[in-house]
Amino acid sequence: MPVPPRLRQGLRDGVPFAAASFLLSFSFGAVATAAGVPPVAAVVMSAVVYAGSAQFASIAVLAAGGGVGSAVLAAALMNSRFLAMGVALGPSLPGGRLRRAVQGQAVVDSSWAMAARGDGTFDRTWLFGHSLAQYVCWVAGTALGVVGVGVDVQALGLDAVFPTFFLALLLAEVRTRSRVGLALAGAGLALALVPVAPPGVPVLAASAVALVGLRR
Amino acid sequence: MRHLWLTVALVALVTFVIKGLGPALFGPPTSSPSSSPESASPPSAAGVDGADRAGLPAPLARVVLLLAPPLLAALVVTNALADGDRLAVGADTLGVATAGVLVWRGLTVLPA
Repeated sequence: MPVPPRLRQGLRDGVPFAAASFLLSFSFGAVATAAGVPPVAAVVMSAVVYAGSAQFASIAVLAAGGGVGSAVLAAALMNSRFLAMGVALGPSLPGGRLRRAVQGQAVVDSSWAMAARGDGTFDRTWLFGHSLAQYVCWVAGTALGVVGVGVDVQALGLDAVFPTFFLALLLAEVRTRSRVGLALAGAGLALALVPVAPPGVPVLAASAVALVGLRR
Repeated sequence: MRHLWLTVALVALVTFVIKGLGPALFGPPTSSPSSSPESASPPSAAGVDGADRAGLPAPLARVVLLLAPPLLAALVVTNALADGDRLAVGADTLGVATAGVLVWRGLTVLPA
C-alpha cells in the first residue's frame, strides 16, 4: 500500500522530535522501574497512555504513597491542555464523533503546533505521521529504559531538549507584535501560577490568554 | 506499588477522553448530517461569516487562532523553570535560553 506523501513528510519531520521522545521515555522507563513499577507495566503505560507529563506525574504520585484518585487527577491536570488543542483540531478531522475522538489521540504538543496551517485548520495526515514517529520511539525508549542502563537524563541536560523545541516552534509562531504579547502574557501567567496551582494547571490557564479573541 | 494496573488503565482512559473530547464536540462544518447533530447554526450560515471557516462558532474560531503562542510559551517556561511547585534556574534554563538566542538570530538548533 503506498504511503500518502503528507504522512511520509510528517514521519520525516517528526524524526528530531521522535529522538527527543526516545530520550525522555527512556528516562520514564528508568524512573518508573526505580520507583517500583514492574517493567511490563511501564511499557504498557507508554503504549496506552502516550502522554509523557501525565505518565511521570501519576507515577510520581503513586511512588510518593498517593492513592489512585490523586494519581489519575494529576495525570488529568497535566493533560488538560489537550482539551484546548482538541477544540482547535476537531474541525479539521473527518468522520463521526467517535472517529474524530480516535484521530484526536494523535495530538502531542509538537504535532499539534506544527500541523497548524495558521488559518485555524490542521494538516491531519502530516500530524498522524509526525505523531507516529514519536509514538514508536516513545514505546521503544520506555522498553529500553526499563531494562535500564542507568542514564541520568537530567544530569546530561537532556531534559532541556523539549522546551528548546517548543521555543523554536514559538519563535516561528510569533511573527507579529500582538502575538508576542500573547506569548509573554501566557508565559507570565503560567509562571505566576506555578507556585500556587497543581502542576499542569499553569499551562492550561495560559491558554486562556487566547480568550482575548472573543473581543472583536 | 498498590493499584498500579488500575492507575494505568484509568490514566489511559482519562487521556483518551481529554484528547478526544474537543474533536468529538467540534467537527467540520460540512460533515454529513447524520453525524453532526451538534451544528448549532444552519450549514448555510457557515460560509457567510469568514471567521467560521473552521467549523467552530465564530468567536471560538478567533480564540483558536490565538492559542498557539500562549500555550507554547507556557510550555517553554514551565519546562525550563518549574520544578514541581518551585521556580528554579538550572542548567536546562540556560540551555533553553541559549537555544532561544540561536533560533532568534536565525541559526538552527534542530538537526535537519
